[in-house]
This record gives sequence, structure tokens and C-alpha cells, in this order.
Amino acid sequence: MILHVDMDAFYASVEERDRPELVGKPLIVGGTPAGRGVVAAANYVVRRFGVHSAMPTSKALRLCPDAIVIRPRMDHYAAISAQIRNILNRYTPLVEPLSLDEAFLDVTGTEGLFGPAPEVARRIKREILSEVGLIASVGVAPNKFLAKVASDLKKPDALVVVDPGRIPEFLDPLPVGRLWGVGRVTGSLFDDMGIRTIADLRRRTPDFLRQHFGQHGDHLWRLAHGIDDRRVVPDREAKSISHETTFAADISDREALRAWLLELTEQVGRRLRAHHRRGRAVQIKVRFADFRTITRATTLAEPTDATQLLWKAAADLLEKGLPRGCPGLRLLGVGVSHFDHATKVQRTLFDEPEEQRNRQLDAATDRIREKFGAAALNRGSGLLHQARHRPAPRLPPAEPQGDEE
Amino acid sequence: MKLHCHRPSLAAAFQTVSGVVPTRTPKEILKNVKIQAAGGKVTLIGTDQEVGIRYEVPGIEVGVGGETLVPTSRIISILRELQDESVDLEVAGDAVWVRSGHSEFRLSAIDPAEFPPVAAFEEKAYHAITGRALRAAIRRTIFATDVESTRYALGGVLVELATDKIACVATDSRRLALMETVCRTEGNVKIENAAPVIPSKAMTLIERSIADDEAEVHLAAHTNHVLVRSGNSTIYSRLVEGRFPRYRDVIPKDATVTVDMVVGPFYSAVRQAQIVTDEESRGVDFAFADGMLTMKSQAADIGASTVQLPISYTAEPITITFDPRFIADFLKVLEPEKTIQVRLIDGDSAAVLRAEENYTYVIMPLSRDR
Repeated sequence: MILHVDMDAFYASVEERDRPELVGKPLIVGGTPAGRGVVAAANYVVRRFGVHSAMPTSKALRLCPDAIVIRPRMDHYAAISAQIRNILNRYTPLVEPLSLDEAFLDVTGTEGLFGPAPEVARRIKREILSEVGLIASVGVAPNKFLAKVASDLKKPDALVVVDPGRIPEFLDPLPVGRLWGVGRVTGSLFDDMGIRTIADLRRRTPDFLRQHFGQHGDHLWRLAHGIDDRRVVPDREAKSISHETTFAADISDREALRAWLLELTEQVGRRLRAHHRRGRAVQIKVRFADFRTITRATTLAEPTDATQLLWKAAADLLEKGLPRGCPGLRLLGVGVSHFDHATKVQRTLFDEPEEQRNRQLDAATDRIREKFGAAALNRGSGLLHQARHRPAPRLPPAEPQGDEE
Repeated sequence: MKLHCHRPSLAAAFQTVSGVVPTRTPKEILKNVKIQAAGGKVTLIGTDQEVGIRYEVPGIEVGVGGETLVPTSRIISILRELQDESVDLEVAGDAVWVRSGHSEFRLSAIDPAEFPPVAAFEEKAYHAITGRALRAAIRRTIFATDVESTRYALGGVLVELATDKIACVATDSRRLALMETVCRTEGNVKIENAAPVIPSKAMTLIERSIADDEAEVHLAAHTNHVLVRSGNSTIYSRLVEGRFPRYRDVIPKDATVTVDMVVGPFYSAVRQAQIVTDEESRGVDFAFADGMLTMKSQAADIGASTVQLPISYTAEPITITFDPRFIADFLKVLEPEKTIQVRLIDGDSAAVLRAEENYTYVIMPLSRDR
């Protein structure tokens, strides 16, 4: 069985824990409106006003003018996240962190030691509360997809168990929006087809879905049937590190895409450096508005963890991979693989100073972002387009024509 | 146009020109070779618009002059498969006829007017280098080029031109090859571009065009292109754009230790040491100590190897890790009986390999610190 452990309003809850006077008040952790900041986390009080993460803080304050805005303290959250990770590691070595506040656990092999999965979930919730003082929601299910849906279903402070024998009963009543990869655009397409719940979707044939959504259709069909055979991969075993984002509205402007790609590449670079990995292969993933998905990969001369070099390769792939006049993009991703395990590194003749500058820049960026949050520092082009690592929620389809990203 | 040709010479000529003809191009017309017959001379012209070649074919009787385009791979196949010593070409209307013995081929004639021009060598002032010297300089440097480089102009060979000598330099930023050789100048050479970077493709073509070791090759460098006359060929090439790094700065002047090695046995030992390496652990440790060079390599899941070679070395032991391919590349272009010098500073610094007085090769090691 798989557990998905998801901290409830993590950053905001940490702030409430540390400053009890904030409890019960609308609280936003994020950048300031003056700095064009975005909401990194919102507590449950302020969420009632319609505030959610990735929303510009200025907009959040229009919805809830009384909200208290606190700057994120990423190093603090990271330390707490490590405490939580320690608790998770007690129950299985197979812990796959997705971010500071969520992780998958595969407890299949350890049920004999610690009892059945729902019991482990209860113990984890209890220990996180008593040792860290925070509340987690946990989903327990036969696979990652179902576990993630389950943990999110009754937040906060939820424990939802999906009975492996009753998967259709669990999924059927849920709105299709619960499926991974269904944003609002797909959602409205589904609406037009009269598909509202997962049950509606499950009654369609794989051929029908493939016709409308390409390869993505197969993916949707499998999810609708509760099929997901991805393994839980502990970070140290990961063969690749990647980030992808689904856009709020399809993007065709190349500069905007480059800005997003840079943002994603910075995320990947940061994780590579955090795990002391250097990769040799760079891959981008592109999903067009028509759901056609392509990947393009390239191999570097030397394995690297430098954002600048990864970015050059990724930008080059994007430039070559996108035909002129291609449809807009709904998803963009970048990944690095083929990690180098050699202890020695090929030295070079000329680029030492630049490499050193890159390294210093990366290290400084990592420190600043760790301290002040991802929005605290951006490269010129990233800032220009307000590319953020948190994908903005998908909005209704963009206005036809003349609409610039 | 009507030509009577010696088939083997014509076949060889097309073979040479096909070196620039692109196999994949959005401009279909570039897949052809242009035949130009005028004033008793026949010239084949091919270009991919970066590099172009004009090749004067000997042994052709020009019945009627003119020009046409022929599809490169098709004409090469025909000339290869024909058996007779002679072949006739004729352009009549919209067809090119190829006739030889009992065979006859009709190819569609394509309008040559659209074919991009390739400049002829009409220079009054230029550099002249013997075929032997230039061939050696190209062979000993071209393998170190790096067409993938985006930061520097490394996709070709830098040719530094002085009045009485030239230096050819190529690097992929992990190793660097430098070959210096003498030359002379003809006419009043006002050097417009004293350091052109000539693309690898053009350099390969120039090297292949050298038929006679003693004959001179003529080279005229301009701001954006270079023209080379060699034997029957005139080669035009655009230059690699961008900056070539300040390579003189990275060639170490001094060395802590110097070891003399004979090319043949060293090459053989390095090839052995290369076998048990993989993409992840490309490094081979070269340990120089007590009259012995010991090369050790190890690759996860594959195995390990130790290869030893007696050397005349008795100074302080020194160990340095190299990608053995870089050493092999250098040894491969030298005669086996030659002696080279290996000059080392320490395990983390650039090493210099020298052959004769004019060939210098610099290799960066692999090292532990980042």
C-alpha cells in the first residue's frame, strides 16, 4: 500500500504554530504586493475568501484586505520538513519527497513490522502532531494516484483509506477535475462532452479519449480506472530529476516559454545541487494545446549541475523542438538524467572563470531562495514574465486572438 | 554542351566535389553538381553555401561548351558502374545524356541559373604552404575541434597567418593541438584577417585536395571567408563566427618533470588501458615512477585493468588522470618510431605533449576537486 502524506497549509501552519496570536486570523505567506509577489501558502481562514497559492498577493489582498502577509522563511520550513522526513523514514526506506510538504511512502514491505497501512498512517499523523506540532492529511491506497486523491479529499486533518476492492466506488462520484492533468480547459471540454464525474469518463472507450486527447487520453483512461503503476522512488535512487508545469492558459509566445523554461531549469538545478548530482542528459517535454506530447533530449559534453549550462541546452532544445507557427503549449517540462557517479571531473582549459562564476551564482541563488523563498530572486527574463515554479491554476480558455501572454 | 571524358578521372572529380554536397538540405538544388565547360576547360562546382569547391577536371575534350546541373549521387553511381574508359556527356533540350559503350542514361536537366555561385581563385596576394606541411598541420589538429561548442568558435581550425609562418590550432577546451609550420607570401599581402577559423569540413576538403606533397597550396584569408587553391581544386569557405579563446595563455611554459616516450609502444599501451573504461569512469590513472609507467583503470560493473610500460624516468613519482582517448588521438597522428616528450607539472595541471619542435598538444587532466 502507498501513503501520501500532505501537510495542511504547511507554511501558514508553521507560522501559526510559532506565533499563536495568528491563529484564527486570515494569513498569507508570500511575497509583498509591491514586489509583485505571489501567495506561497494561505491558511484555511483566508482560503474562505477565495485566496489560494500561486495567486498574486495583490489580488489576494483585494479578496481579503485584512489578511496578514508574512514573508516565507524557507530555511525554517526546510528544517521542519527534515524533522517530518525523519518520522516518515521510521516506517519505510521507500520515501519519495515531492516537495517540502508532501511525500509518498511505500509501506508494502513493512506492514509486517508496523502493522497495516491505515494503522501506520494514524501513527504518522500522531507523531507529526506530537513531535512537530503540525497536522498532516494522509491518503492510503494501492497506488500513488489514488493515495494523492485520497489525502486531498477531506483536508484538513484527514485520513482517507481507499479499499483496493472498491476502487470504482471510490472514484466514480468524484468530479473529473480530480484526475491529474485535467485543468480547467480540459474540464470545460469534458463539460461539452457531458463528462462531469469520473464515472462518466470511465464509461468512454480508450479510443474515444485517444481521439480527443491523443496519448494523454490513454493516461486519463488509466487514471479513471484507478490504474497507476509508478513506483515510489526515494530521491537518492532517482535516475532523473525533472520539473514540469501546466499553464493557466496555453502559451505560444516564445519569450514567455523561455522564461518558464528558465524557471523550471532553475528548480531542477537546485535539486541537482542539493543532492550533489551532475547530469549528462537534458530533456524537455512539451504538450501542445491539442494534447500532442513530444520530448526532446540532448547529451552534454560533461555532466553538470550548473543552471546556466542546463538552461543553454534546454533552451536550444526548445528552439529546435518547436516548429514555427506550432500550436500553443499547455505543458512544459525539463529534466536531467544520466547522473555521473565518477569521482573525478574532466578539467577544462578556458572556462574556469565562467564556470566558477556560474557556480558562485548558483550557490548564492540557492541560499537566497532557501532563505526568502523562490520568488525572492529571479533572473531578468524570469522576472519579466513572472514565471513561477508553482503552476498557476488553469483558467478558462484565453480570449481568441490578439491575446498576449 | 558536349563532352568526351576519361571516365576514371571524371568519377574521381565527382567523388571529390561530393564532399561538400549536402545529403539533407531544404534547398534541393544544392544536391546537384554544376558542370561548366568553357574555353576548353571543364569545372565541376559543388556547394552547401558554407563551403564550396571548384574542381578542374583534366582529360576532357570539349565538343560544345555550356553548363548544366547533374544530380550528384546518381551521376556518381553511373560513373562507378560503367565499364568503359571513356564516357560522353551531352545536354540536349531538357535532358542530360550520359553514354558509354552499350549504355545510355537520360537525366532531367535542371536550370543551372539558380545554382549559387562559388568564387574562383583570382587573388594577387596570398600565403603559400607546401602540400606536405599543410597536410601534416591539418591532420595533427583537426581531430581536436569541437563543432558543438556554443561559447567559442571551436568548430574549426584557427589558422594564424604571419609572413613566414603559420600556426594551426584546434581545441575542444579539454585538450588543444598546435602545429606551427613555415610558409611564404606571394604578392603584397595586406592581411585582412590574420586569424581565420576555418570550419572542419573545409579543412578536411583542403587536406584531401592535396595530391602532391611538393606542390604549394595557396591561401587567401578575408574577413568572412577564405579561398584556397590546391591542385585541381579551389575551395571557398565561410569562416566560423565567434571568438577563438586566447589559447597561448593556457599552454604551460614550464614543467616539473619531462619524460621521453616512443610513440608506438605508448600508443599500444594506451589502447589497452582504454578498453576497461565506460562513459562514467573515463579516467585512467597514469603513474610515472621508478622506470615504469603504470596505467590503471576501473569501471563499475565492467572490471579493471593495469597496463605497464618501461620508461626512462627516475624522478619523484607523479600520478595524473587522463581521458585516454585524448592521449590516443595525439599518438595516432604520429609515426610509431617517433619520440615525444611528456611534460607534467602535477596531477591537477595541464600536461604538455610535444613532438618535434613544432607540434604541441595540451591535455587537461581529470581531478577530484571541482
